[in-house]
Amino acid sequence: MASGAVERFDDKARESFESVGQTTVYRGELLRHPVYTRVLHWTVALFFFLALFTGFALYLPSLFHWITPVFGGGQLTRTLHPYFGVAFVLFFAFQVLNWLQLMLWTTADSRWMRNIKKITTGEEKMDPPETGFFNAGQKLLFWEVVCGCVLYIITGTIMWAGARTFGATAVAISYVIHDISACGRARERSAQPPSPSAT
Amino acid sequence: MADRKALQTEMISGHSGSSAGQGMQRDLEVCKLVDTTTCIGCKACEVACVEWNDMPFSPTTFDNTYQTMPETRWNFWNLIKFNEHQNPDGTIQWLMRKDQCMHCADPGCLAACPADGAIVKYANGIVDFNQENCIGCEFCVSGCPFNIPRFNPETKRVYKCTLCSDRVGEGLEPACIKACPTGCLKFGSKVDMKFIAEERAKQLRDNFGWQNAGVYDPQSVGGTHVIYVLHDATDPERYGGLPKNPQIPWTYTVWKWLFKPVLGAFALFGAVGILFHHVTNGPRVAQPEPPKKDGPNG
Repeated sequence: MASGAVERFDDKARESFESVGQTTVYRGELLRHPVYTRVLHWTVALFFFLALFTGFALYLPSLFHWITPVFGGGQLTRTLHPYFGVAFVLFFAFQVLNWLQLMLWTTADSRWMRNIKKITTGEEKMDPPETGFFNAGQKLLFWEVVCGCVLYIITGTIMWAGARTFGATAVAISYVIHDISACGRARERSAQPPSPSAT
Repeated sequence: MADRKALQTEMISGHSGSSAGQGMQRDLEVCKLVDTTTCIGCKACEVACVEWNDMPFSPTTFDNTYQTMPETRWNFWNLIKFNEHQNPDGTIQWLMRKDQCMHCADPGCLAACPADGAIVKYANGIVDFNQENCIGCEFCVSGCPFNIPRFNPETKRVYKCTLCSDRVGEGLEPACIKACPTGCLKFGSKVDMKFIAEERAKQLRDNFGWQNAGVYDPQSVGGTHVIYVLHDATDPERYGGLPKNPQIPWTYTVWKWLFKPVLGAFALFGAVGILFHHVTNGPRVAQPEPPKKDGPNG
């Protein structure tokens, strides 16, 4: 357990890390996330990309023609998209429960954010020592996804049930909010903030 | 669905770029004129519609009126709406209006539709659904100011009146027009129908005492290809909920043509920005081991 790599984390961070799951560290490597977290993360990623590509097909007409056949045609794409979305949000909800404690904002995170320019330009090679298991950038991303998922569920349910249930105005507005939320999600996928990971 | 060879396409839903052959050929705008003042509520048009479009039987609903059912269905596109309207002086007016797709010049359903080619507007003004391309998302239902598109849960497609585009494409009048016994339904070019409608409204005003008689051709959706002559054009709501000022939700107009490309560019530039950052700043290099406070290396 006690290897040189683990000692990079301060005690507080290591304690919270231990509470997430059992970790076995082999010689020369650090296993940052337990199996449960990794399985959840890959499941979320799978349904995220399925929902993303079915959603893109419906969002942009220029993508409609070649993405929808992959999912079995326009009708099936439209049928599957909500199920992919629900699966994405559901598995992410488990991840929220898993990470909630580690994702709470601390004063160290505010200090990290004030350093954001140095960090993005690569001048600061290391996170400040008191940074916890996740740095402030990761926490911001996490909470942004949480907010996005809440919007997805509300607007998605309205659109899934349709104008006959919730009214034409609700559907017409949901459509815009759903799109904005999705574009935020698609963009931040490539904008992962630097991680303090040692591997 | 129409024989697409006979009708010139003007607008296609969810389509990038213009429609093939758009504006190549002139086509008269067609129009259906419904004179509510001479409708006798015989429902011959309802039967003709079901007959011609070969639709399965749809059970009727009795709710103490002459109306066949509360509203149109996926397999019942044409419904006479009956309304007993009480005038301020206590007299009763029995109003009958043929409810069907209005075939708007700016179709809200087409603007809302994300599926390429599921909704087309022909140069003659007919707005038609192509069920083979429909994905059943029901956005058209929320885009329509007249509450016309109807979803069939079994086929997962949306249906509505085609203005008998299959007949019109062959030079015939719609089935409902052919069945009408009183001549309350007329079909022809938009210019002609508008002229006849205005003449009839003038006649109603001058000779029959309907001071507010007029033509219903709402300009908020660019005009429609089904127009009504009403006894009182100032209050179309009384004719079974005909909207006075039908509007397409702004999200389907502003959003689709302005914000959607802007947001797409925003997402794209985000990705380009990440690439730019990677090129200029490079990836984060491995961190050096921190000095140990009490270790042998100091």
